[in-house]
Amino acid sequence: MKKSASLIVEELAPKKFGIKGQLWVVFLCVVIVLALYAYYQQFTKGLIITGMRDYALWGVYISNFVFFVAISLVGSLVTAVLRLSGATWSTPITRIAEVIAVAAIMMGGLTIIIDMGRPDRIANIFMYGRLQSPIIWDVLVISTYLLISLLLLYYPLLPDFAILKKHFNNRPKLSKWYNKFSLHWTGSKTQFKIYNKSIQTLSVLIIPVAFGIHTVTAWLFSTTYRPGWDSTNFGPYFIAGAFVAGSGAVVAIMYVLRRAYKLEDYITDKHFDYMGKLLVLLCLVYLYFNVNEYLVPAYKRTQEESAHLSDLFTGDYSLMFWLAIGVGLVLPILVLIFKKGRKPLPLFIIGLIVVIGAWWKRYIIVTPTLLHTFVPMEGVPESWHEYWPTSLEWMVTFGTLAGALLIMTILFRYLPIIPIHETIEENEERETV
Amino acid sequence: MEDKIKQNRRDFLRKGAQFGLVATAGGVMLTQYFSEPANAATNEDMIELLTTDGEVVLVPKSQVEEHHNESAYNPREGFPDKKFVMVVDLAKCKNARKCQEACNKGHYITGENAWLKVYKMQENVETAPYWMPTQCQHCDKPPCVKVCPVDATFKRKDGIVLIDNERCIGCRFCMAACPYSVRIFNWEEPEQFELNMEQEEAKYTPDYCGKPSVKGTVDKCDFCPHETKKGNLPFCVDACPNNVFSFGDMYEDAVTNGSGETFKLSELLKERGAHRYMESLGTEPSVYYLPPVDRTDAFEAGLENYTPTQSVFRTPEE
Amino acid sequence: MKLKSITLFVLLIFITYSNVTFSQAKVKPRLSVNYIKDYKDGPTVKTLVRYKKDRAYLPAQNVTLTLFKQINPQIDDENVDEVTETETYIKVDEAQTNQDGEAYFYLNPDTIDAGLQQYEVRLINDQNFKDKNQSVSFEDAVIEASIVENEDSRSIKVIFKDALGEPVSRQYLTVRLKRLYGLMQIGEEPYYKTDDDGEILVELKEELFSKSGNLDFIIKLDDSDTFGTIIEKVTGKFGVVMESKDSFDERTMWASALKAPLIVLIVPNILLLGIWGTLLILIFNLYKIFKLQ
Repeated sequence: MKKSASLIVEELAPKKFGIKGQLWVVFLCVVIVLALYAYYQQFTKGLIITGMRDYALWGVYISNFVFFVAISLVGSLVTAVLRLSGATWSTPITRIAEVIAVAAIMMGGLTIIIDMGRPDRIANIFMYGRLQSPIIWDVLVISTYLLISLLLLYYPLLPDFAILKKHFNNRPKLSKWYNKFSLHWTGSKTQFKIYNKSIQTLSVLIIPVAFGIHTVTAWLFSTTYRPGWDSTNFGPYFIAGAFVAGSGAVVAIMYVLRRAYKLEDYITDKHFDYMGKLLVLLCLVYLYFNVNEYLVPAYKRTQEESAHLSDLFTGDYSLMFWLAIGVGLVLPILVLIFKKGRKPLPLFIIGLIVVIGAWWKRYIIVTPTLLHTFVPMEGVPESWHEYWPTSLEWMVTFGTLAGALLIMTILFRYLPIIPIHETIEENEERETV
Repeated sequence: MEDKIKQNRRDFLRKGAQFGLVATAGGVMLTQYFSEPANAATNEDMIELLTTDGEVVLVPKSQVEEHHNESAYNPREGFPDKKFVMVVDLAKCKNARKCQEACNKGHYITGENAWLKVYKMQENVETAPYWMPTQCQHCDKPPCVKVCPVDATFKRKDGIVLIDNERCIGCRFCMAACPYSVRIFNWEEPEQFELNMEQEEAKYTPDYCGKPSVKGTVDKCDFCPHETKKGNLPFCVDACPNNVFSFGDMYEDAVTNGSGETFKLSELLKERGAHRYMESLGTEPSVYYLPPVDRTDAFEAGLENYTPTQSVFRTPEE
Repeated sequence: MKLKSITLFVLLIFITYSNVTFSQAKVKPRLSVNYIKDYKDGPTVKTLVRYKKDRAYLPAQNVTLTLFKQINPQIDDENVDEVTETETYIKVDEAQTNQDGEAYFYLNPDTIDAGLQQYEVRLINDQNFKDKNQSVSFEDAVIEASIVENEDSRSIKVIFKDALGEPVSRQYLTVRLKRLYGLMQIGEEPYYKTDDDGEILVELKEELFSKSGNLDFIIKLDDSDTFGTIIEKVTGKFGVVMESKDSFDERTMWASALKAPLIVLIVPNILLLGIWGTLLILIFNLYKIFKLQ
């Protein structure tokens, strides 16, 4: 549909929150305040307020951490990979993907600090860091990835901010901020030259860093001897899972924003169709990795792996396991193969299911392994043979989730959700064709 | 009249003080002069030593044996020219639990934090059950040290793996990496009833784990370097009534058990067919186990003290 | 006047009564006294004082003990028949028991003569303990130890002599090697018996290890009725130095931060430099864009 540039700007400019938006922000703030209370309890009393003990020494906090890092990979997938491969249909959703990536990686970094027994000693990581430790590698890649994602978010905003500066000239204060952040963008040839080259470089750079970040996170587990973690498959397995989770998140949020900001002309059914196809492909790849991860040790049944796999297939964790795989992975494949399944509403539901399934999948990766030790579990209280997150742990978990959503909400409030400049450009190209 | 008396008193005091000062100074100088050593005339190197009575004496250097241990000891490097090795005789263990009691008491451990655990082991239903005391193996290729991000846990030259509780950030990666599950975490402020750091006038050193235990950090067996400093065996070795533990320096090829009997290590390992726990993982532990064969006492005797759901074997009220 | 003397009398009775009843009843101590002569402290009389409480023996701490030596009076040659052995004791030394109830009297070697020496340890006038004596008697003896070099091995030669320099046979000695936490048996036998010449020869066939090269051999006569306990040391310098088996000075994955393997130090830093360098240029580009307005 042909639209004039000014109309595009009018439709895509950030709008004030309505009553729904304000209630949403208040709700998120309440959840965050509860989480702060729970964390205060933890900070003063120690990690004893969680359900973790000497055997289940990593629990929900680490699952959260892996989950956030996984979600943040979508930034590189959509923005960089699709952009570099010339898939211009992805333009409307690049900003959504980047915002999700930035919010997720920030909360990921925060979550790992929450898990520390002595967060007051965080400076030790920088003063005494050992390059032999996978945790140090993780700190390095996470900070690198955060910077790249911020740059990849910021660069395409420059022309958009310039446009918005003019658009909001009836609101001088807001206009001034947009002007500042646009770095006085004029759209000259030289500026564009630098701009294009930079974005190109960033897109290329982010891909190995994204692979690095989730491979290193996977190595936090696979550099140990534990059954279920002692796998050579872990790096690619985690990355495949990350792309699934991230795509699910994009699909879900894309739907919500489309409804809330009435962006049906820009995020069309075709976009959902393409994202649905992408999601099916990624789910199939992830399913393939899951088959490798579970079927092969099940064939060998070594002593350590046996108890662990029994727990997952038929034991205490079987319900969670089969739901995460069946509902979280197989069901989306079955639904999305059909065109009807890739319509906006079903895809939105599937996206949510995929994200929730992804969280439970990471819970299954982290905790059951730790409860299958090489030595007998003796000389400890019986409660230590199991792990159940406490209510305070859940409060902190939801708090971090709310934190991510709050960052996204604030960014979506002030940034144009759909890149204005690129949309205008592509619109003009279509008109001339 | 009174003033005159006062003045006389003042004069006397002043003169007395002056005289006293001169006398002391002169006396000190004289003693210095006269205390020149008799054999200062010779060219022999003399060393000043403090006797146990608090006297300072001069001794020819050639007669002094230098003990490098005391002066050059660095807690991160350890005792020079030593490599500690422990031998656990599974044929003798009857689950008396005196080892755990002594370790807990000596390191002020309470609650659920016992470092030394005695497991009831049975490889499969056909093979014999036995009691196996397990504590940190002080591996030569320690997986825990490899993964520590802040160098809080470290391997010393004398083989001991220690934890610096003032540097640990509580990430628990070392606990996940250890296949022997020997590390414990202080999930809350540890209750250490008998320890009063001010009373002990002790400064924290990683040499003495548990003194004090620190909230939010990891603890584990330290092979008792604080006891070795005093010339004693580790608490567990000393306390075992059945001589299950032997401890010693590999470079001396000797280990000593709780009764003071010392054996040639290489002979003991070869003749008794020693093995190490989970050798195939490649961790190279410093603890050797002698197999549970030729046992004279039934395994059942140990079931009396079997407390699978209790950690510290004694209650704090004792 | 009569009243005054009565009150005084009553007061006196009261004081003695209270002294007797309110003061604690004194406990009966148990003394064990041994004579030990070792190479570090010389001739020592070691006393252990304990008392029984609730079926257990506890050490008696900070108790003052006095050591007496029995001196026989000079025998008048003329009046041999009328020798009266009055036991005369002279005070030698005082010592206090430590935390473990042990007290050590370090004797001056010059005061020990040939023949039977008799000493007595007395616990007198302690406020908590009843008076108790315990005697110990011994004859002085000497262990002479040396290392003998043979063609392809070494031996330890020990000669046991009494105070007059005469060899003593049929004494059971242990010859052991001092290790970090204890004494290790070397040679075939746990005990060696001195022959008619008072000698023992222990052949050292195997390699003995010591990082310093020094081997301290401890020869001990353990609690003999006649001679007490005698401990002597002889040091050989033929300890085999075992090669150090630690990785402390190598570059390993478990070493401290700066001793990581070179690849681990170099590769991440190169990657970081490359990537962060590029990022800094890109940030600088933003500045360039700003300047190009």
